Amino acid sequence: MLEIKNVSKNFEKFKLNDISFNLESGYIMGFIGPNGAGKSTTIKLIMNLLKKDSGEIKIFGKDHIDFEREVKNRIGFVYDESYFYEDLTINQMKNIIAPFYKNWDEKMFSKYIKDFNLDYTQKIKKLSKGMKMKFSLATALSHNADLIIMDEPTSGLDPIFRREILDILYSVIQDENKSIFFSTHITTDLEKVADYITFINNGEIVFSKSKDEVLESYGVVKGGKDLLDGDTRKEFIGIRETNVGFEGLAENPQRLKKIFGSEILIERPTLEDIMIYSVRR
Amino acid sequence: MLNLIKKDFLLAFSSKSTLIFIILYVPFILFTIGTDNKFIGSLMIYTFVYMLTTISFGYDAQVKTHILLQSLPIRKRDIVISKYLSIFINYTIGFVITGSYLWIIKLLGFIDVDTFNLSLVESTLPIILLSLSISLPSLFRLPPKIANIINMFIYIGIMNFVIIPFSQYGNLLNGLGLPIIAVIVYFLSMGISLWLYETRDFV
Repeated sequence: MLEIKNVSKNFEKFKLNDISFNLESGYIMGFIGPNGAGKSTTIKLIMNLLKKDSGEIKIFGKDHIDFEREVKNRIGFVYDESYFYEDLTINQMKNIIAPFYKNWDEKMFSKYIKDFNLDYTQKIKKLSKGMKMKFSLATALSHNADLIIMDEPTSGLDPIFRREILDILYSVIQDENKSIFFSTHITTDLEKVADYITFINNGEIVFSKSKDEVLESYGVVKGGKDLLDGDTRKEFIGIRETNVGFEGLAENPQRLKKIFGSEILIERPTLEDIMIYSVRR
Repeated sequence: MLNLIKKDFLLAFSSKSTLIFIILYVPFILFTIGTDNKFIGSLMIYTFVYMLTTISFGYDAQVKTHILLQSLPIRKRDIVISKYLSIFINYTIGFVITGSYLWIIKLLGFIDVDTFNLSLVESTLPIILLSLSISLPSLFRLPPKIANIINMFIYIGIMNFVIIPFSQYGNLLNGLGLPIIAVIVYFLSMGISLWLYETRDFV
């Protein structure tokens, strides 16, 4: 459904370096990374808002520039902030957006507006951030899009709104022909809904794997400081030391278990652990 | 393409500031310039078309609405061409609205601007084409805030150095082939805008 192959983009102070990953139909992929890692740049490249320097981007098996109109007809895009015309009402904004889509479904839009408790006559500028996000979701989901691309949709929202959005995404994905590509730095959201995780840091893909594979292949190792020396430190992706001991993230932690035995404790990491330790490296 | 033109209209006429502009631009120009000047009709049409054509770019400066547009199933080429085509539609609307406004003012017995007639098309259309052909490439490429400042200078510059002198030397300029030059510049500008917009990075 979404295929990114060896894509690079150079800026003066940042480089997106030869990134590759795939998203298949019927899955939610979480795209994680710290601020400035290249998440929004990647999404802008997918949407042809930025020109790639090299590489290939295919959506639904088609080049995203050669078939831009056809491809975008099947994409629902949710932004990290509101890019709507603030002086317009929800209805006026809908009247601008709807004619561009071949498969715009007015009934579905009305249903979402009702479900989200939005008012057609309300001006966009009067909506709260959560309401704007809901409106953005309503437009993205009302033209039978097969791929939903979301750039930090839950950032700045309270937990109740975030949960509602995640529930909506979960219901969308029940149709196995649809996929969701979801960038965020709130990794707890992804632990609830994502099937795949792609982690980007400093413009490079660290990994792109199934969520279970990611969580199983890493471990948070805890032990006494006396266990750490030049050789053992190399086994860790990142280490945090305190007065009483250390805590570190390791790939293949079972290998460390064989070395240290009961002197260490291995815990299942969260995505946040993996992200934080990898960034601190 | 039609949807893009429709979008600009919906946008322009849904905004309070545009409606206030439409209501006030004729009296404002009449009171600030006076009715004695020959160029007053040209200035009214020029102001109206220039503002209506460029107003949607103003939103880009406020909330980056161009990013919304780029996410819709639209080719960049269509966005550029529709804007250039909309100049003619805006011109027709500008001519009709300005003419009707002046006619109503005359009927009410306030002011009679006798220089406003159909012959103005011959003199104003080439200038408007020329002026917007200079403006649009920067609006399609540069960051919105910078482009809007440049745009304002172009508007004032054309008004002072072309519209006003044109009322005296119009026949001479038309004789020198201004309409043909305007058409050539229009198509050149469209080509440049297409290239600039299609290769633009929307950061």
